[in-house]
Amino acid sequence: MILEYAIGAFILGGLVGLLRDYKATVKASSFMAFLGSLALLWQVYEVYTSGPVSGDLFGIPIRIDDLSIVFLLIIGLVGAAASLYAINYMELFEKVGKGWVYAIAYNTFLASMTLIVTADSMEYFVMGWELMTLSSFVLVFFSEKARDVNASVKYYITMHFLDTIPLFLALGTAYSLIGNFEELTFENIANAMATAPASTKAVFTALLMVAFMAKSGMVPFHFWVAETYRAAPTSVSAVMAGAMEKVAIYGLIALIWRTVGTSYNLGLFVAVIGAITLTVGTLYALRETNAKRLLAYSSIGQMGYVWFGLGVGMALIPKGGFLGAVGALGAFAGLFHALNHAIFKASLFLSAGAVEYRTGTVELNELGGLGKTMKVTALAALFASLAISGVPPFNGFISKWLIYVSGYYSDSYILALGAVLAAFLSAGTLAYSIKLYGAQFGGEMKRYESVQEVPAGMLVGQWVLAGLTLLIGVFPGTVTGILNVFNAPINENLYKIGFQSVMFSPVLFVIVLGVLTFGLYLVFKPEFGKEAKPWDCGSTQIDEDEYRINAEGYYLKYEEKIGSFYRLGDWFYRVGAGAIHYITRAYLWMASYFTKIVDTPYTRIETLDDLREREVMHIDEEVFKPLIRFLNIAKNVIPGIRLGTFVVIALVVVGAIVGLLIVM
Amino acid sequence: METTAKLAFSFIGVLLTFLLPPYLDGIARRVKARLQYRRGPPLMQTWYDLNKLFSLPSVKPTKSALFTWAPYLALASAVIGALLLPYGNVVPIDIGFNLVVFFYVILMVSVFLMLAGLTVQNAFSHLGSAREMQIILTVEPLIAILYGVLAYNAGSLNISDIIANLHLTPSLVMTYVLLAYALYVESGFMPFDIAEAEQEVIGGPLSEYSGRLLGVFYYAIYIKRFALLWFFVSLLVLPWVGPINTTLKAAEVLAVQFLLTVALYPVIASLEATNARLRIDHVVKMNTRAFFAGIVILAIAFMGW
Amino acid sequence: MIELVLISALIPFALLLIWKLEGKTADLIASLVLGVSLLLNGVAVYDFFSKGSEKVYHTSYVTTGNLGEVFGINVDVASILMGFVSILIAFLMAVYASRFLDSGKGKFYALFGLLTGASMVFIYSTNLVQFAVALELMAIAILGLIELGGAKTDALKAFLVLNVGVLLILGAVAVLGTGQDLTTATYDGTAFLLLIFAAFMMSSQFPFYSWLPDSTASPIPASAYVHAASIVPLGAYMLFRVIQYMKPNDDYFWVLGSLSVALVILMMIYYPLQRDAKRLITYSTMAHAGVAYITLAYALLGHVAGIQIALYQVVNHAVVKALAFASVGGLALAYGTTDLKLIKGMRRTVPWASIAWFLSFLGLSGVLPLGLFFSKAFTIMSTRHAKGIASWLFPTVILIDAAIFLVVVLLWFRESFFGEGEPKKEPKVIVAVLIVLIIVGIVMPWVSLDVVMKIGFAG
Repeated sequence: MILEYAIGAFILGGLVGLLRDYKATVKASSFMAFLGSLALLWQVYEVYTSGPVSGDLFGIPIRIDDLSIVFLLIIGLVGAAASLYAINYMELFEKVGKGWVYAIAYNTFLASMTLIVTADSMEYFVMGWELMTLSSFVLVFFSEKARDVNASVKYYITMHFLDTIPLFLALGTAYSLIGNFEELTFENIANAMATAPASTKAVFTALLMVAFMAKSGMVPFHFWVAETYRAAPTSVSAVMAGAMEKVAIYGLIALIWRTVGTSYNLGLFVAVIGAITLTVGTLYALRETNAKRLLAYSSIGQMGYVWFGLGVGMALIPKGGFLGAVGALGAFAGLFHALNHAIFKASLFLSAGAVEYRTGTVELNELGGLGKTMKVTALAALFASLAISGVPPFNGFISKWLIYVSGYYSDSYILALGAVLAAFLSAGTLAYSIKLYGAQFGGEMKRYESVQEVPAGMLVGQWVLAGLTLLIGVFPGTVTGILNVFNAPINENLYKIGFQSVMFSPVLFVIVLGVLTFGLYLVFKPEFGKEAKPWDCGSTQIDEDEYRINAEGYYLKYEEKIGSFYRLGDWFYRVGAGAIHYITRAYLWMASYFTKIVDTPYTRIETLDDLREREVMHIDEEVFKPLIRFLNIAKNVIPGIRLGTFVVIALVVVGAIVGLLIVM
Repeated sequence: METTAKLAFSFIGVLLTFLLPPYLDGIARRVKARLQYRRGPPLMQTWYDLNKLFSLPSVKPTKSALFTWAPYLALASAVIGALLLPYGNVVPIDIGFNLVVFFYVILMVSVFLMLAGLTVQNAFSHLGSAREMQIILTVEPLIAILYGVLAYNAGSLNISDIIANLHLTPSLVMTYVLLAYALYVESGFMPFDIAEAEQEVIGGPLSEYSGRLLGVFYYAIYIKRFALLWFFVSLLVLPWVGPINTTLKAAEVLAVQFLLTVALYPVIASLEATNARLRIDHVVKMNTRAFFAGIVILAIAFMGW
Repeated sequence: MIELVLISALIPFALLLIWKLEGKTADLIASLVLGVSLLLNGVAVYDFFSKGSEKVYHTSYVTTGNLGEVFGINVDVASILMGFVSILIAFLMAVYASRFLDSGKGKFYALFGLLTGASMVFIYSTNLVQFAVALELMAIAILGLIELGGAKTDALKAFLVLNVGVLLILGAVAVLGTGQDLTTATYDGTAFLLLIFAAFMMSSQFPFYSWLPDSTASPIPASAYVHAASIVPLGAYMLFRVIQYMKPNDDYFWVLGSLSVALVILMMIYYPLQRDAKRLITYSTMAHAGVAYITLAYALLGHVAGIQIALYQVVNHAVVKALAFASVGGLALAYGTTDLKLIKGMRRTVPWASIAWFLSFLGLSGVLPLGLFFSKAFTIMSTRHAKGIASWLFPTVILIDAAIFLVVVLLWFRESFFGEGEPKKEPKVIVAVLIVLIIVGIVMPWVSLDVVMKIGFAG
């Protein structure tokens, strides 16, 4: 198996951490991660051409099937680009040191995701999952800044409660059906589920659903995403947004859909969650002014699209017939969008990171004018922005369009409304992408005049992905073969892709657009007269850098008008915070009975620290207090008593009893 | 229909796309003038204006390549949008005869307009771009939901299927009304020309454009308006004329499309002449209401009415 | 081979002879003696596994008419694993102690040797009298060790509670008669109930659970050993042995299960109240012992997985807990305190100890890469298979306990881990012990899983 090479490269990349020098460590380990990711792509090709592979990797049962390679492709692509990029990017953190931590955590991160999507045992699935969570946690606090450490802690606690606990319980449920640690393969679980009582199925599905929703940031479990992606080094954020979220989709398909099965209502649930999430994520992204937080919210929104598409599939495929075909189309489009999102979102993160690398900030309000000095990065960001907004001929268009088609054709009001929301929020996506691009690269600012383009490695990392947005957009046939695990009846050849009579020919579109643009360009060849500074009403006192709209001001009126939406979101957030507050209060109240008041009675207990000042009370001590007092008195009254005395007494008593027992 | 006829119709389509839009604007200007008891300019006036712009060199406020290319990309998108529509029964560019593609291609005109506005360091053009985006944000959901009704009513997103299968229901009538409104807003006619708003933000995204590049942009906007109107007219006409299988019938249908387009422009012009520009928040509010009306219409459509 | 095991179990008692020694000599002798013991034990382990792990070697050395065997060595796959882990940790802690203590070394090593020897004798035992005697010796050792830390009342408390345990075992002996030799035992309800409570005394469970938190005065290496591989886990080990040989029915399933669950729930309340790292991990020790008892309760239903996983839990916990104590020791050396409130920027001040702290404290809540993750996973899997309400109660309680511990650790992590700090020198020996423990902690679960899976009910 080629997978061995990949894992080997990741292990080697982790071992590189033994080098003492920071720069050498991060460069070498990133490079090994890059090689490992390439091996993953090779593995995808192998499986795609010669069928599923089963085997054994260091004692871990492996099965790489049609579904696994979709996700291996995602991990490989994003991993390769981000790792290549990280070779230079990670220099940013030289002051922090501990390159070995990065080496181990980053390579483990990639390896664990690989393990999750290839392991054919639920135990190793869960283990890989935990490893993924842990290594991403370590990477999130890598910068050691207090705010980032806070974010990482919040992330890890959230993941523990919403992922680890449900996954463990689900694992236990699977075991309780099979009763053997070694046979928890997906196939066995599916067989056991087929005869399991409905309640067990429901419990299993519900537990896993919570875990996967939390990991892919579905509403209402999306609260951790923004800060986490902001805190992590940008190349890592790219992998988290590009690949880690998708792993949850793998879980949804492999562990829920394929083992427990699906039903119309379950699919409807997934689709509705997706529709809600794509609304919430996108509208929150619209308001954001920190590039990485904006991209994080955007990831939430785009994952909503993926879930919506898969939900359509889960709801309609069981119905069979025409609707079954529509469902398969929806699921196919969902997977396609998962791949596309991985590509353009990682690319956008890398561009934001490039800007951070040169300017030291990702605050959109402070940025601007970089299009002039960082041309290559700007163009990559433009490609990815257009792709994420679903502008043809980029890849985002095709998957989004197929998602709409499946929703519109679903013959269900709710799913159709979901498709409407998806189409609407595509405009929202366009809005924040325009803002993201405009605020970073638009205009011209003196402040950043001396900024230089980032090193070649980082550019290649961005362009691998940005180029793919166009390549896949124009030739979707390059990936549809791998992606079509649901056998959706899509019509496609080199020139076009479509479903039944709804077709689109990206190649033709590009040709027509190109010919027209160049033709019109030649017809109306631009002719420039003088050069002049932008017109500023003749002002002399104006700060030219600030003669613009900053990121905050772009859609202010719109945001005000839909303010009730944000207020609703904030209200939910406050409810959540309030719940945690009251749980803490309840705990403090309860715990106060487990402490003893030492010196100042009637002190109010406001925080945990107030309680920590007190002495801990043990129940048994309180119950046996009279006896202890008596012993104390006895100790004081009887002269010459020492600890040794007790030892002697005990020895005598025990010896006597043993002797008696032996003799009698 | 034989190939020559097809070619002929396509050619007419191309001609209409390139030549008609400025004339339509001329008509609008004439109508507006008449409403204000003025004599008004000749019908060719918009063409003269464009020609003049084409002959002037542009002032260059930035080195950005996007600034130069955006007008051409916008114009190309608008032209493609227009050529995606049926002329008679012939679609000049068959790259996928479907609603969503049309929707996005028309959107691309705005995308390039906005990007162009953002390439220069000018608060007015930034403001204009942001306004354009906010209008899109409010009108796209409306269009999306109306497309939903059409798709459900006809059982397809393919334009030719929609045209062939639409059946008259109350919800469809309401859809037509709302669609007319949505397309009117999308076209950026008064009172919805907030993004360009000469008097407030001196042309918005276009404020730094001059000469030939400005002409190209104007041209793109006229063609986009034409395409949206032609789309609406086609939806009005084609479903009810029955199958078109002869060249003659196709020619008749094309004539009806053309006449209706020309006839509707004065209506638009009179709406423009009698309305003052709205504020952006007003538009947001109105469109949000229209969106909820759309949700109701979709529900009605799903109930089978 | 069985002789090797016997010798390795008895050698540590020799340390009693260095009671009066001080300084480097004491360090050297202690490390050497325990090292030899570890080596002999290691040879025995190798020998054992090379001959086939399913064999059981049993020699009785002292037998009496009324009670049957009262001193013997029973080597099977369970005791060989537990014994090796115990002596390994004892050795590492002895090495660690050489840099940790300033004075009273001879006395410390003597008591430590007594504790180690008694633990080893306990581990290889299959008769209750031997359990009782070894426990008595351990009680004496810990009395001395806590007294070294200057906490006389606490020392007495631990001693008395453990003696209650001894008496309970002896009570069971009285009930069982010759059946106290577990290899010939048949199930007896009363005796089993007594033994449950005896084990609870050792592991600081209900009803006398407070002796362990109050015993933190003893020197850190000794605490580490007590928590990791001596008295506390050996309580669970003894019950494991009893269940393995007696094959009890599920009459006392709810007694064992509900008391353990109650203790684990109680521990959840105590975690956040602690600011002393030592006390914090003490409560986690008790909870982990509780988890082992919960799994043993599952074994009462007749599932062999219950005893397998219980031992797996004990072994994994041993390594992680030793590492946790060792890291806290590193902090204590550098900061002069184990109060987490007063510790800031440990990552810069004590890099190695901070890594160990991070791994072990997270590891205690069942986070990879250390072994408790696996034992937690297997515990959840097996207890989800228990009967009735227990199938939800047991795994949920275990998971929530771990989650709360994790939250507490992460909140301390946020406060104490990063920030400014002056690098301080960490003694090489301590770093070496930390590294060994980390490596063992990562490798061990993979090896020991295969080993425990060979455990079965006797007969």
